[in-house]
Amino acid sequence: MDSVLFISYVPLYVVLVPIITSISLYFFPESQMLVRKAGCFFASLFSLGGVIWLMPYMLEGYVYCYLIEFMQFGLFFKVDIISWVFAFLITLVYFLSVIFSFSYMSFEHNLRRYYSFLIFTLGAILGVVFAGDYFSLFIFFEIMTFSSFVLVIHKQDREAMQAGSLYLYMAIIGGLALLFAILLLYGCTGHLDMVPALEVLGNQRFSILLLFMIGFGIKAGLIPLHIWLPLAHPVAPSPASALLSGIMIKAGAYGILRISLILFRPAGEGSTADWAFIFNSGYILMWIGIITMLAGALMALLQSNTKRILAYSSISQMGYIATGLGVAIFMGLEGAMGFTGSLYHIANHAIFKAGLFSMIGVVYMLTHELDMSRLGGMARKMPLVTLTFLIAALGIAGIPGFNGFASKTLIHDSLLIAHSDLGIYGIFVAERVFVIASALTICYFVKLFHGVFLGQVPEKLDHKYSLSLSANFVMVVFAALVLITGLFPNLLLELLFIPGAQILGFSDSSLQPLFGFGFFEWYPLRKMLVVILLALLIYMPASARGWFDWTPPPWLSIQKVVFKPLPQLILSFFFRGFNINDMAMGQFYEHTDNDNNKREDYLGELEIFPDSAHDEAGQSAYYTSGKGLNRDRQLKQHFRSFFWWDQDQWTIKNLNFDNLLLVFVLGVILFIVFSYGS
Amino acid sequence: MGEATAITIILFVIFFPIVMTPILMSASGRSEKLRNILALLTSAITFIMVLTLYPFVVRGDIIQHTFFEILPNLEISIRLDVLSFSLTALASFIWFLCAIYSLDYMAEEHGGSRYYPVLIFTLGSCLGIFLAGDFFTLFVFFELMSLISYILVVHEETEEALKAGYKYLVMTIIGGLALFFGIIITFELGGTVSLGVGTIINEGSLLALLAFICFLIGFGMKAGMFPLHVWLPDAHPVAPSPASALLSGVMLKTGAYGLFRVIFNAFSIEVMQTSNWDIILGVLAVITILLGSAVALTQNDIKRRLAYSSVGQMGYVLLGLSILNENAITGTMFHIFSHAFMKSCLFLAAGAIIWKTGKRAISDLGGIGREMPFTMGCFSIAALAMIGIPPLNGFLSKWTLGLGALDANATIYVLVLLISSLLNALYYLPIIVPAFFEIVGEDHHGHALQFDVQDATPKMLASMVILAICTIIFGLSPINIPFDLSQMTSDFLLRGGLF
Repeated sequence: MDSVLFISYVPLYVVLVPIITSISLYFFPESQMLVRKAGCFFASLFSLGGVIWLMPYMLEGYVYCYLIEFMQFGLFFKVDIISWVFAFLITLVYFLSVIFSFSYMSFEHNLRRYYSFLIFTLGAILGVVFAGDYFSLFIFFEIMTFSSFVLVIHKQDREAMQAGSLYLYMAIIGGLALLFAILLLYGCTGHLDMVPALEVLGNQRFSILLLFMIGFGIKAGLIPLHIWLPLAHPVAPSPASALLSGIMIKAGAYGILRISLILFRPAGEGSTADWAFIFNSGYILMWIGIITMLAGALMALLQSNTKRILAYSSISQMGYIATGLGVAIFMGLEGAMGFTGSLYHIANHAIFKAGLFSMIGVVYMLTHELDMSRLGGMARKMPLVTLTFLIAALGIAGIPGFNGFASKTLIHDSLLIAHSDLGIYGIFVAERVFVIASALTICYFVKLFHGVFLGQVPEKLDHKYSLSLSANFVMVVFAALVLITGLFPNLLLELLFIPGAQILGFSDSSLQPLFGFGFFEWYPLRKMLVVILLALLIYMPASARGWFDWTPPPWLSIQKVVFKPLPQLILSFFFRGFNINDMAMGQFYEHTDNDNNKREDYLGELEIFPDSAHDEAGQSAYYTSGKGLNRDRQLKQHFRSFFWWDQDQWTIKNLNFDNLLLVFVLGVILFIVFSYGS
Repeated sequence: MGEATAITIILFVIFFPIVMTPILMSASGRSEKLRNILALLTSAITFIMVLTLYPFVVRGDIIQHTFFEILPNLEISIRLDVLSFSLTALASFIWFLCAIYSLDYMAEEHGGSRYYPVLIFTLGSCLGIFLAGDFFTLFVFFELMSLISYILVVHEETEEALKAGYKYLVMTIIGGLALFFGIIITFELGGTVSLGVGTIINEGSLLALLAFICFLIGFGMKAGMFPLHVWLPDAHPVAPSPASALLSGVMLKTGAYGLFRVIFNAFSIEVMQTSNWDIILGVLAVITILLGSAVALTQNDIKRRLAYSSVGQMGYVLLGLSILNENAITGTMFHIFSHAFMKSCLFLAAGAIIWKTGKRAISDLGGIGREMPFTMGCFSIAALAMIGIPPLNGFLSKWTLGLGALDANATIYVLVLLISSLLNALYYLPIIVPAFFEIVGEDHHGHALQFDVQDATPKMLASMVILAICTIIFGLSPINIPFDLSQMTSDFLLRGGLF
């Protein structure tokens, strides 16, 4: 396919209009809410319109524009069909979330800050997906981190501040890893364009890949870098949670996609590229995805806070996306199905997860409850919310006829094809885990739906609820999108995702099965049936015996085992030396003048009482080291406030990480599944 | 304009402030207002006159003029090239802003009749350093500036200030002596100390190494290099805030400037690299960066934390000087600019907070962003620039330095830069995040908390806002004069320092 280059400044306007709107809205007084809402509404509408306007160009080629000398190295925008898919999702979900904010945020404080940063983040995140080189991408990525931080901590209570600071520090570490990777890349290639360059990277390819993966993986919430996500997403206001989970983590997936499927590819025909390296990186990414998928689903099962279930569910769904990408990478040019599957899943997840967060947000808005144990029976109180929630939940569970089904089928099929092509046993195992994780997804949504919408209405919440038109509109649109995509799965696939795969250079033979893919034939439906049966098999005994209320002990959480002590250890050991050294030097300089004065006394004493002079010296050393240790203690205290939560905060209900345990459980379940499979 | 005009202007910018000093002193006896206006005018006129030199520099002209010889080949001379111009313009600009800030800040302080003349005199001597044509003239002005700025350090006259000032004085004298020794050795080896002859010492003999170490002690002391940085975290915080801003933002740079001259004019890149002296500088720079950042973490006094941060940031400058390639020199020069804007802004904002609320401890600063939104806004922008968040100027300097380090295949330096960025984040974000987002007071739900917005006075805000805007503009804008000057400087220096 010949691609045509169009020069257009529309991408630039689409990025800049929200940013400029945001800055100018900040200077309006707090009371002028109408102006503020209108500004946000039209800015997001403008971005949506601009992105749709770009659509015809996308089908023929690229759009690019170049701002020479901006930031001295030039900002470069280049939009191809993959960027366009992301940009369209971003602007669509943003538009809906802005509308949802109007009703949701009416009982919140500090609206000036909220709306300004909300719309600012839109510009930044569009900049990330429109960026044509890694320099521009990095710049918008960092801006996005900082502006979304303000959305995370909007509540400003203790929980939000702690979640926010964890998010911020992890994101900064990720940003620095990214910067390091980009600098190394620049050192190797001499430019930062997004072109295949595996041969040029030489020995540094491993460190570059690793650093990129850390940088984007933190944003994408891949295990083990996801610890911020289940804390940060639930504490934000619901429209912002919808954006964080639906959109912002996709920026990480977008980065991984760009890196692994473009940068780490051989630069041309017949080159001596290291296919073994590509295979290994894809294989590892696939396994990270599989583990993320399973661990996220298991952790979601054990939660009782509704938003936290959704946050863990996001981690789990990012695992699906990473798995699809991993398969696409290690299959080389034959990986079109894995790629389209994960791109499809990115689109689907953006729709249903943003929708689910909005619906849970509506429940919270009306009842001010997030915990499932204090909710129930909402189906009678809010029928429309129940219906839309059910549709979105069926979408995420992958039930045929709803959108998640299509993308999960594609990813699953890509695993099967990879297994039959390559015959690696590990892929077979991965496929089985995929099935289990899909079954667990159904389980935790059954649990969530049951907890919130079915059962008895608690007395406290037993009154009539009415909902504004805008919130209803948003939920209906999300549900309709889920249904339309689900009922016509081939429409988007052929319009957007297959052209996306074509520009990445996947071979025709692997693209061929995707045209007119039979989603509603017996074969994929049968597999879904197995998943549903397995889900029933897990859910029935587990809910009867209360396994979902089980809480893992704290020593199993990697947050406690690794992430809290590690930075403290490093910083404490590494910088203790510096601190004591600085203190001692300060003392040394200070004492030189005292000692000068006292030297004669010392000299006199030295002849008479050598012991006392030694004593003096010993005391001085003791004093110096004591000061140094004191400072070291301050350093520790300082870090404790970042990284150490109070032990009381580790309530049993919402404990986080327990991978070790998950591995154990995984082993047991795998054993069962293998015996039924072979 | 010809060369004669340029020489006149150079003489004017050096001696006009010095001449104005006694006038300011006598004026302060009559009217405080007159004195303040005169001080402001002096710094403004100096800044404008410095700017008139810009056309010369852009043309690539060098002015090297000898007035007279004290001894054979030991002369009093001036020199203007793009390096001197960059620093002169920077210094006079920051000085002007600090003079504006001082008008309100010093209004309630004691000793204004001492403060203003000293401030202006230091400006003259500082510009003298940057415009000196040989090491001897440079040394004279260097000592003049160091000794006079002692009065700024001890201005508060508290016990703490006097102690810190004493330390500063002792260190300055040690540094000055080392410098003088270095100049003597250079004169002995090369027969001249003029900056106009290109390389004075061509080979790295033992004596030359001794000269290098002496220079390193003399200038490194001023630049806050490990292990000679000990005076800095004591002296900078005790001075009045505008003086701290100058000490950290500009006067530290005289040390870096001296090292520039030593590396490119007394020696040459070849000597540095063949004798492996760049490694000495590199190791010291790495330790300085990590030490400054690590120790800054433990400080609870806001100005002390800023001072330690200066130590770390000057390490970047030294690091760039040790790498010695085009990107690194550009990055170093640009970081000198960036750090001057950022750190002056930070010190001025911290000064405004202390002036308004009396709070110095970082743990007390929660919620201050609501009370003083503009001051804390400027502080935040400068602090984010310090961490290296794009699109602010701190990012651009780190990026360029990183590229320079990679060009020299020194990945470890890039790692050090990034670790230091992380540490910067760890000690700046705990100031700015609670300042804006921490809920102080009774209401823990965030509702209806009213803050009395009582920001700093317009004059104080003006200088902070200008500096904060500079940090944004000089990162983002396509027309970036400091960056162009940095590139010109690195072009100029790498072609031998003389043409």
